[in-house]
Amino acid sequence: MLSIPKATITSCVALGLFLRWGVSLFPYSGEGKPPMFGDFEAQRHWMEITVNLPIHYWYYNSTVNNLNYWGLDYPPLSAYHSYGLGKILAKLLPPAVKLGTSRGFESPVLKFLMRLSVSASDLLLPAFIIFFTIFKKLKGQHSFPPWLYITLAVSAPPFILVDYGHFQYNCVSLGLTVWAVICLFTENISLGAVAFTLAVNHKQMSLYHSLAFFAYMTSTLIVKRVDLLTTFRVGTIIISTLGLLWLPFGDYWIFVMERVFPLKRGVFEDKVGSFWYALDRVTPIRGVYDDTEVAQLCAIVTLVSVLPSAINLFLRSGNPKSLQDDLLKTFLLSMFNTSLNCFLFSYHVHEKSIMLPCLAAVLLTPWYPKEMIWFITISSLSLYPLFHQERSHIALLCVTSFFVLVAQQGKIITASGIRSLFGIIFVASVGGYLFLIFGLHFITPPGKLPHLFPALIALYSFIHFVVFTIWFHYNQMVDGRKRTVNATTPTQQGRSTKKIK
Amino acid sequence: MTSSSNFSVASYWAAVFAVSCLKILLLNSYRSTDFEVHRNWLAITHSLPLEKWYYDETSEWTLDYPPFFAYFEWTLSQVAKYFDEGMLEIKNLNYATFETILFQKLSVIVADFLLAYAVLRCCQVSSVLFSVSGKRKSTSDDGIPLETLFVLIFCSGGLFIVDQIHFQYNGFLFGILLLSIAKMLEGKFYQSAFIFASLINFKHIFLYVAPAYGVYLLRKQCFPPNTHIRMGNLITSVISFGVVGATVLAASFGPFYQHIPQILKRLFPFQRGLSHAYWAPNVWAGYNTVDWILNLALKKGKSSVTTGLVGEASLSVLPQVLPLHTFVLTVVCMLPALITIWKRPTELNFVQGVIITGWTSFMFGYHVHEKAILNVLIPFALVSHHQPNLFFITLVSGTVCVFPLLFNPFEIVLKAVIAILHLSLTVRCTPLSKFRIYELLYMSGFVVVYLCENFLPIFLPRFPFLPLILVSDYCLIGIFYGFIKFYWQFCIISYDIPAKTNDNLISPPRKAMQLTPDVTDSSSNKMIKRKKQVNIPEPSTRVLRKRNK
Repeated sequence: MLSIPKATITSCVALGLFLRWGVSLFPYSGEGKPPMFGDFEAQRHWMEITVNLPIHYWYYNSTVNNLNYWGLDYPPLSAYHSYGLGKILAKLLPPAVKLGTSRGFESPVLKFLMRLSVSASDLLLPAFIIFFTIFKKLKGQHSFPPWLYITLAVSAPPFILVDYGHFQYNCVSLGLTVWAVICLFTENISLGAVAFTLAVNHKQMSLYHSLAFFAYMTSTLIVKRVDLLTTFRVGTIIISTLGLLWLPFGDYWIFVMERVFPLKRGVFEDKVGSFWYALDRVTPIRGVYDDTEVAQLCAIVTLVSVLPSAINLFLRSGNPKSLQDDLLKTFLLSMFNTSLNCFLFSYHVHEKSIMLPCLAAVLLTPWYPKEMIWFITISSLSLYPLFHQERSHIALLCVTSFFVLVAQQGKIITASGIRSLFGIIFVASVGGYLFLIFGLHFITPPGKLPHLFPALIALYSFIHFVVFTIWFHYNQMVDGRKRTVNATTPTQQGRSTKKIK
Repeated sequence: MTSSSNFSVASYWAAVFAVSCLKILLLNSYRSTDFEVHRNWLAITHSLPLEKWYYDETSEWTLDYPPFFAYFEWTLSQVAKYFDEGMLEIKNLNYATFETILFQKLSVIVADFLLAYAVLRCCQVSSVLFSVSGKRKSTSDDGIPLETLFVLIFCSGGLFIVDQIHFQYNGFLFGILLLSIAKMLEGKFYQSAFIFASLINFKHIFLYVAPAYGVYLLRKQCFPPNTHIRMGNLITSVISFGVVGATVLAASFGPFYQHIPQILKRLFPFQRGLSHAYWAPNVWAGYNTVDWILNLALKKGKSSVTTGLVGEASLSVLPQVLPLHTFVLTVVCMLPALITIWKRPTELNFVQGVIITGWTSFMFGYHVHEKAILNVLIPFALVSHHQPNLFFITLVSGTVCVFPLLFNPFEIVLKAVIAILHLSLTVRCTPLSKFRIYELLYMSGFVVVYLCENFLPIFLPRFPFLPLILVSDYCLIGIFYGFIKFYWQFCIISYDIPAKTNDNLISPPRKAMQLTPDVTDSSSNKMIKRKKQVNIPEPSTRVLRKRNK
């Protein structure tokens, strides 16, 4: 299967590492900003807590573990991950994980070791490469060379920036998600299920993708194959994985749940391109209504918004006539649509959560190169205010321009004929962002609205995201219908396979 | 990014911008004292009158580049004042605000666009390098593929390490060198000489390759082969070259005419010792090693070569080497190459001559820096298609030999990533054939060398010089091997070939290129076009194969 030359893969890996380590040189979130610092301190603090306290106290508020100071709020696998890294850190740099006294510990060595730990846990980089190596020649893909997709995937800015710039370990859960997709479509359903369960248990944000996985797996196992034995096996495996992860907490699991799904943190955080933020600009929501009520409303709206895409996937994957190649595309489209809708409508959304639709977008580049390049570019630019705060906006601009220029090497953005219309749209859209970024730096907003430009960037992103969700819902529905028609008429199918050859 | 189906000039510039983005990413990386050196020069040229430039000693990093470089710094300082005036104060030693770093690093990146332009020019005229007889073909289609030159030169890992992280301005200087080579390949000798003379007035290290220029120009313009030498022609040529050289010298040194002795004193400091603190992998590194081992064996006391101080280190067992010795040795070793250029003044031999003179000076010169290996690697890229395997071995050793410049944790990772990135891209776009087993073994040894270089100091803190000796001697093996083999093939094989079969001698890359699937994949259209045009006669392919071995 590996017909892509080794040198090409090596160069893609090296390029990915170069971008990641280049961004690593920039400041992390909250660098040198006491008393609260940022996500970097949060991760270090979790190592400190997990290494020094017994497991029951990890998520439990106590005198030794003040949850108001960066208390653990990710699921158990994340905590175990912190524990493992913390153990290593305790060997290499003991003062960095000393209970209590290490708060706000900062040193160049620690920065290096923490960056190294992200790089060492990065499951996403290899997952991207394997994905594009395995699925390089599928139906309906554009004929760009595989190295272009791999290069684009390894240089997709949001993943690099958030993990290696801002500092988080999303590469673990996102990587596991891609591994799960690879397993599902190479007939390793149980393994895929385990990988995705682990992903959700590393970061609850991965639940955005869960509906697509759920729809595909139930429909394949129950409707299409009617294979109760496998269904039972997969179910057992998922439950035992969950059990293994949660049992160590014993009765304290309820505290873990409270931390992982916080209701008290508001409907959105900071300025984010979600529906509720946009609505909040029109009529105030946050702080006006009760958090629980808003959360319920969010849950209902989110559920309604993701159902069409999920049902479509359910029906299509239950249809024995649909081809596996097409199903991968529908699955990824559904993953994109559901996660984007979750981003737009769910409760307590961060601007960084845009990474989840981005993940599906990267995997979809072979089918929709132009649109997905556009989507990834604007997602990356939508993070600009965050990185501006952290003084690593130069890294963001560099990586994003690099990404666009690589895409341009494949003539993805501008091509001759009608397609150049896309070029104009792309330039106009990105130009809008550049204007807002320019404003952020050089135009002093009127006194009443000190955060005018970050807010405008969020709203501008919101408009883009809405357009994308509509456009790709349309694509998923129409494309699905067209394919089934193709599949039912043998002559047409023959013709299309010929074309591919 | 490098092997798209039609790597047009527009895509080329897009790729150049993309690589520049990567360079900007290194903004926050480590900077060596050379950063402060150049900041100080900005300050000197900006705030002192011209007469005092070469006298100021406020900082220990005095101005020791020729006047054109000083003018260049002055020009930069005119822009620098809009970033941060503080960096232009001579008294502000080790001044490094964010704006200062941004300005200085950006200035390197922007200056590198000259290198990008030069690469493009070289590619457009590179078709002559495929034919020994010097028949020029008009189509640029026949030259080295642009993506190859782009990867080998513009994305050079060594340049990344030395210019972007360590901090120097080599990129645009190599751009000037390549421009002058391009002019030479076009047959515009006076322009080439003019550009080259200017280059020497930017950085005098390029005097190393001057002999190749001198001999080739003399032969081509003053004593053209296969024609009778006419006295009138000879005299006008000599005078014209004299005028070109004098003009450049006057422009450069003219304003300093009263201070020339002081400038020369700064330009050629001989009190620095045979080898740099870290030994550049040349003959003297080997000589020092032998001395060190003998010293250990004979237990003669502490050797000063390994203490790591810059200065006149003295050898403890072997005889001392003086600047004069190295100079004579260098000239003697250059002679065969210069004679070859004289006998066969083809464009190809000229470029190879530039490489060999640079390489000889690197191998035998006095107080050579490891960075000088770039003087070999960059021009070598132009003729890499003749000996791709040899080029690759030299490239690996040459890239690793600049590794000790960077020693902080982040950069230890980055230098390896940069090297792997550049080497794998090189594999993608050069027509490598199978390596011999000992060559492969040697190259895999670099993994161990890298690990020793960076982790040995943790286990053996008492011998800080040991990893450095290891790197320098291990790289020496590859660089020396490359040197001997390249020199041998240049002199001997050039003689072997009967004059008649030379016409199509060097058309191998087209055939060999197809060995790398990636390139074939992409530029297949071009390939087909090329194949149609080329009819390789039987005897020449045989010669070729011999060469490729």
